Formats: sequence, C-alpha cells, structure tokens
Amino acid sequence: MYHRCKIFFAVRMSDPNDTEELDKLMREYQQGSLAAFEALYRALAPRLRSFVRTRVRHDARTSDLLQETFLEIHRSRHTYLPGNSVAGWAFGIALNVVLRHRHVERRRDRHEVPTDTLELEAELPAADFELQPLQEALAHLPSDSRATWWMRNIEGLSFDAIARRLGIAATAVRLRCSRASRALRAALERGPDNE
Amino acid sequence: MSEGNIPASLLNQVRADLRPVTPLAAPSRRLLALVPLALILFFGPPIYWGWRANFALLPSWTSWGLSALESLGGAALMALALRQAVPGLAVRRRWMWLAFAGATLLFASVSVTTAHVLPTPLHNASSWGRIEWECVFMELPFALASLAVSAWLVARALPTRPALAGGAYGLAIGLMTDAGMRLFCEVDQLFHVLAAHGGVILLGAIGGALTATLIERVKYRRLQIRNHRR
Repeated sequence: MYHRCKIFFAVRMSDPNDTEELDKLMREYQQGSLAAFEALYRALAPRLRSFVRTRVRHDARTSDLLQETFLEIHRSRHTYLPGNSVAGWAFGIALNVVLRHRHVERRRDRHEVPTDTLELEAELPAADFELQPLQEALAHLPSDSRATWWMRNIEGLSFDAIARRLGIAATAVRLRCSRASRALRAALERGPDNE
Repeated sequence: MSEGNIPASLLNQVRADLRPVTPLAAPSRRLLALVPLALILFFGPPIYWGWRANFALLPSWTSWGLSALESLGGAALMALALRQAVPGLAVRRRWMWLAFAGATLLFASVSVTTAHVLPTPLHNASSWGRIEWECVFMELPFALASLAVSAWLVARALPTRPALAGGAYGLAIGLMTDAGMRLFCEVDQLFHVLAAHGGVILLGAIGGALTATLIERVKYRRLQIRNHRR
C-alpha cells in the first residue's frame, strides 16, 4: 500500500521544480520559518486530504486526520532528510497517522459506548419535552459524532475524559462535539417535515 | 473549508513550537554509529568469556570468515531497520520479510557449514540443557545492551510499522551477537546451535518488535497527555 502511494505521488510530483521547491521550503521550515510551513501546507494539504480520504472514507474524520497529520509533520520535522522527496515523507507520516487511527478505532470498537437513542428516555425520564425529534436527529449523525456528543451532553464527561476514552486529541473531541451540536440544532430547526 | 486556510488551532500549535531542528542523519551515517557496537558484539563474547577451545582446529574462513559474514548480514539488516524507521524511506513489507528469510537462511547456512567442517558433539549428553541455558544467558547481556541502543536510534525517527522495524533490528542484533558467540562456544552440534544460539536470535527479533511497538505506543500516549494539557 505504501509503495503504491509512493508511486502515485512520484507521478504527481514529477516536476523537478516542484520537488526542489518543496525541499527548499522544508529546509526553511526546519530552520523555524512559519511562512515555509504555511506554503508547505498549501502545497501538500489537497493531496494529503485525498490520500487520507481514500483510506477512511469519511469527510469529518478526514479533516481530523489531516490536521493530525500536519501536527505529526510538525513534531517529526527533524525526520525529513534534506534532498529526499518531501511528498514521499509527508505521505509516510499520513500513512502512520491513518494506521494509528485504525488501531485506536479497533481498540475503541472493543469498548464501544452504547448510544442507542432509546436510552435517552431512560436517562431523562422526567423530561417534559418531546424526545422523538432529538432521537431522530441523533440517529442521522455519524456513529463517532453521536458517541462523542452523547458522552459530552448525556454522560457529562469532560473533553479530556472523552479524548482519553476514544484515544483521540481533545481538540478533535471539541471539533466533533461542536459539529454534532450544529448538525442537531439544524435538524431540530428544520423539523421532521423538512428532512 | 479551502485548503489554503490553515486551521487556527493547528497554526497556534505550530507557532508555539517553531524552534529550529537538526535533521536526522541519513540511515547510512546512523549505521556508522553502530560500528563500535558491532565490534563489541564480535569480539566481546570471546574476549570476555574466552576463545573456544578448538579454535585452532577451525579453518580461518570458517571461524573469522563466517563470523564476519554473519556480522555483515546483521549490519545490512540493521541498515534496513534504520531506513524503515524514516517516513518516506520505508521499504515494502515483502522486502522486509524477504530480508528476514535471508537472515534466517544465513544463520542456518553458517551453522550447518561449521557443523560439517568441525563436528563437535557435546562431551556429556546429559548436560545439554545446562549448556543451552549457559549460551543463552551468556549472549543475553551483549544482546540486550545493543538492543537498547538500536531501539533508541529507531525511536528517534517515526517508524510507520514499528513491529517490522523492531523485528529487523532485533534480528540484526541476534545475528551480530551470534557472530561473536560462535567464536566462544565450542559446541557445533546442530541441535545446540539452532536451539540455543537460534533461540537468542529469535528472542532478539521478538524483543525488538515488542520494544519498538511499546516505544511508539508510549510516545503516542505521552503526546495525547500533552495535547490534553493544552
């Protein structure tokens, strides 16, 4: 798989100027240039995004993992050997992040948090409002967003506790919660008739 | 979101830690750092424990030659492990497995050739168990110290498949240790060599794979904790 990605990129990055330019930017980035990082982000993000998306097939997760990949690129910038392909190096890191994510997901699946929307009624027996629309809106959320929203809003866990439980960064938990809340709010405002 | 816009949280984290970094040396140069270690593994066991009693009876191509060959095989595998640990330089998994098979074949060939050139059975068949353990325990201190140094070198990079990289350096250390050990151990009986010396090589490979995996997990866990604190 990794070899295939290297070939894929070798074709896309065949322009020697592009390769040399990236190498130059990477050297500047290693020297501490923020502008070089920004230029590298613009050059690599679209390709890394499609690389990650083909492996996780989930838009929200792709964004999380792309951000995670750039964070890892930043932390591991010393592992780039000047003169080598920056793209190949970045894809190697993206693959590392994707594999780590898969490992965390597999582990999480073993300790899956039940988020059956029927539990909502048990959790909120004295609610004096209609739960049906919320249940339906929750059912439309992706499973990981639903689990995150549930742990935050029903179980009342902190972002850090959720991050530890799911094995992801606290910033990613915040992002997922806010996306889930926004999606729920939009679904509730639309109402069942407009869905 | 346009790809040109860097998320603010990412930009802030990058900005917070933008100190200049020194790039990792090339795998070939990092391998050079292991040359003293290879020499210690080669000459250490016979100098520390004593040269084998029948050393003079062995033709030099069998003693020095095959040991040097085994040591070089280990160094090549170590180079592969160091390369495997750098993103973008990793080799395909099938090549890694081929290298593992090659290393195993090298060890088996060296053992069979030595047993054929100078068959040395155990003097006392009842003591084979004790001698097995002696060889294992005499090799382990050398192997463990070298394993720690290799683990550190690999952990400085970012292995995509840590188990594979760890297995490679563990196997490499095993081979290099055996290259020195066969200059000390005078028993060339195949069963002893394959079980005791081969056992140490196998332990090295498994230990390396576990160590590298564990180190990467710990690194990731520490990273998560640091992220939570932010």
